[in-house]
Amino acid sequence: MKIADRPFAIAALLALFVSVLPTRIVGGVLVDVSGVVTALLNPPAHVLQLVREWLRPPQHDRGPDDPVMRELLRERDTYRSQWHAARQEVLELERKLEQAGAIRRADPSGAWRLVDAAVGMSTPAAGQGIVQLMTGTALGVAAGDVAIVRGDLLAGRIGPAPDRLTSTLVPIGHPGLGRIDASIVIDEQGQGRRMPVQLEAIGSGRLACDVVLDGGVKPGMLVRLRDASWPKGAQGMVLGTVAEVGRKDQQPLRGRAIILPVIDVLTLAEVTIKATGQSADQGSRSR
Amino acid sequence: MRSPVFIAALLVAVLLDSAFLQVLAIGGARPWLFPVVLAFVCFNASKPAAWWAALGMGVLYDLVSPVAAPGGTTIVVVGPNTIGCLLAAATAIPLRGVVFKRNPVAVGVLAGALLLIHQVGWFAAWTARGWLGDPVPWTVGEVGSAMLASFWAACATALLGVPVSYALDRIEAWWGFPAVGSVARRV
Repeated sequence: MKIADRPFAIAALLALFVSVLPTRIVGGVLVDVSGVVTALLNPPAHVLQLVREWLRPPQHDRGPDDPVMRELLRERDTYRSQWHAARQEVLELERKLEQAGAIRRADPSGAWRLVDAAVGMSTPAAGQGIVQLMTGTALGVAAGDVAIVRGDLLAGRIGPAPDRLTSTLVPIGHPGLGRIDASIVIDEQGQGRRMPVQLEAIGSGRLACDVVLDGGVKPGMLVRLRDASWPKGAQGMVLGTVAEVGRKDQQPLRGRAIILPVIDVLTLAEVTIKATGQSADQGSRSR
Repeated sequence: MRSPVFIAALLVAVLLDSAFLQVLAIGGARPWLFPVVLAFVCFNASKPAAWWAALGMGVLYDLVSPVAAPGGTTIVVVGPNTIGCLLAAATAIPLRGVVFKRNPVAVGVLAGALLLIHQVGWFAAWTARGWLGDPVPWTVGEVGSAMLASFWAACATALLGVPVSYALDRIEAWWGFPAVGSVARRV
């Protein structure tokens, strides 16, 4: 097949090239162009849709012939959907109340306020696991504040320089948090015997620390924060759990424990922030 | 070929395909108009005009076919329909010497075949994008049923192609196609 038309060959090659470009590069422009084209085509298409619907109505439009019965069915469906919506809202409010109560019981000093933060972009490729939060300094969120899930599970810390309406969450296990002092709780149910450790990120969202080989550390034990450089209200909260304990390669007489963060922030839709800063608009979204 | 006539036909095709032809669906088989227009142009226009028409048609169909992506967003990809239309044109243009282009049945059946070839390009382009991490516009593991639906759509398109190609043949003079045997036609 011979294509003598050089401009056409260039155009076809360009189309082939665009077809394999990642959407993050050309996606925005193409969505805009598509929006313009569909805006021009939508009005006549809508007229054609109306004609099509008149010629061949959708199956679900065919209800009972009796208009009273049809009206009753419509009302039943409307109230049913409202009932489901209200039930979901009640469950959500109960969850938030429970979480707020748990956080207040853990730190009754009151030198903070709780701010619900919706999670924005949290794709794995976005900034090596850093999560965008849709709240910021307007609600008193400050750099270094902690994000909490379900009462005392630490999700991470607010990154540097939060904006007025947005901020970043650096999750537990991210190298950006540096070394973290913590305690492995050997006896969670009994006396609460603890082994002080220093955690460091080792990639893939995991942490590691040196431990005494026969110190009683076992997989499944909780690791709690014990770091003076973190906010006082976050001390004692759960960072993660011990995933495995092994012999350290360089020092065979010592052990090394791998810690998995208790919260995977990439799966969250919302976190609660213990905000320590001054709020620009007191009252809104805070409790 | 007169470009305004082709553009008007293309717009009519995209409007009917996107908003009206579902009315002719039988079961899961719905006809498409664009393969009929593409077949008509490829059999009558000069080769460069036919290639440009296929490219323009593919790009327009890509622009009006957004795909849902994870996270509630939509993405628009120029490529799958473009490649499909170019593949269909690459099949139709060499055939114009052996097809009775004034026979509506022949054009209709070929329009159905062109839709199948278009679908091969479309699936291939999306599969390649799927390897790069993009979402694909069919349920994972259901590509077989999606291709079967394409086959039934091709059958419906062939049926629709018979009257449509007859109607297009009646207005062939409007399109300004080059005369048979002219230099432009042989380029």
